Amino acid sequence: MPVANHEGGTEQKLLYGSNDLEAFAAELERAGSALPQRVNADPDKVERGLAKLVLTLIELLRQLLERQAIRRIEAGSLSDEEIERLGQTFLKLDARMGELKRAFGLGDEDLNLNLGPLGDLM
Amino acid sequence: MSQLVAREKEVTLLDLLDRILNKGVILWGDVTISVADVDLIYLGLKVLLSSVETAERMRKAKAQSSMQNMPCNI
Amino acid sequence: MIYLYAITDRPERPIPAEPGLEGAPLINLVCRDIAAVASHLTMVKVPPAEANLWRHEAVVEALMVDRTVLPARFGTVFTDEAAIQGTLAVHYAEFEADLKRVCGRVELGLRVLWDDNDNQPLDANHKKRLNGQRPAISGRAYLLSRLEEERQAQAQRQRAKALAKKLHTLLTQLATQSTWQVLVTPRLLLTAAYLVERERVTSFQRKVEALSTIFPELHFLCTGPWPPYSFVTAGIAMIPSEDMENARSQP
Repeated sequence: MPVANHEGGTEQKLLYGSNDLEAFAAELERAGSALPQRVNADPDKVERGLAKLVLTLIELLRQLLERQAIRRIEAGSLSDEEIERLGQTFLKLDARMGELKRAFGLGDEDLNLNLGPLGDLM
Repeated sequence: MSQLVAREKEVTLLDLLDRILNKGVILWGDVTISVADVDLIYLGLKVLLSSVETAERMRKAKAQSSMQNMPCNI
Repeated sequence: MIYLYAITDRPERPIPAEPGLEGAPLINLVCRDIAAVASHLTMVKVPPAEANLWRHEAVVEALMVDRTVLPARFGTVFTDEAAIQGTLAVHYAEFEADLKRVCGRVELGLRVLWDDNDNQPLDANHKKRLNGQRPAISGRAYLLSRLEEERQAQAQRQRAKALAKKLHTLLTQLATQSTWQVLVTPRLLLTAAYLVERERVTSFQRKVEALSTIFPELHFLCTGPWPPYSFVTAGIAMIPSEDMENARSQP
């Protein structure tokens, strides 16, 4: 099998799909955004990377807890008072997360952990 | 460089990135170097998520096979 | 420091002339019937800049010409040759099994985009609602709206999974192994990798073309041939997949 030419490495790598490259480029960027900026790595951005990591973890927990609460509502195992209280807590959490994100200049996209495949978790 | 070729390069690079940074033989050498320690933590986080997903799938399979109504738990 | 590119079979083969990172010559570290191909490194850190990534890939692909290769993840560095030898000994059986499994095969990547009607990421609506109504909304109303969103998301996920499974099932017939994931992003219906015999790459390519005709509303992207990054199980394996069993099964 012939070896790919490596000036850019693109020889023989695209087997099908020249029509929609722009759309794919956008989605692949999005899919990879769970990791810190890889290609333009800059050691000075480590602190921002840590902030992003911490907030991503918090966001993950928040989503998991929210889903658990929703499941309990579906199962009918929460009282009206509990539902109201939980809802208020999640709203406050969401507001707090918004403040933190703004403080570090991070948007929703930055904290995307690609939970898609884990959508059925909990 | 034409726009089409530039786009092809971009998509191919992104596809390569996904493989070369996340997959392949993953070893802890005496020192495994990546861009910053944050990357190692992300690696651990992804392993954790995969494990949680696997555990959840196993739990569901068990629940279905035993036909019980399991309470929700984390 | 020593930078690792791949684990290979046929350790007796001469090392290719392909230069490694920093233009360093490749070295071949042998352990019985397998080898680790590496090069000496003066850099303390290996930034994943485009040039370095392609250099790593170039080495792996040069090796693929005349031997079976288990590509290493980018950035795997050891203190010295003894450390690599140690790793080869410790993981010997795993490496041997992996090499046997991927011998004569290459990896092909597939991604499929869809434009589902309710394709908008559901959290976008959620955020908009929150931003507008946060002072007024009750806790109960919030959770109930989230409940509805989760239901819709789940229905959409079922639709995606059914369609993705259909596509994947047709393609996996041409492969000895595969991994697949649904909805890595809301628009990415299917992300998959297929381990295919070298001689079957063209058939696979034609099959993708055929599918794009049968499903004109979807967008297909097929790349490769790649070294089998997604089909290595030695070391710390992470293959999130809809069907973990399939990824691990023998052909």
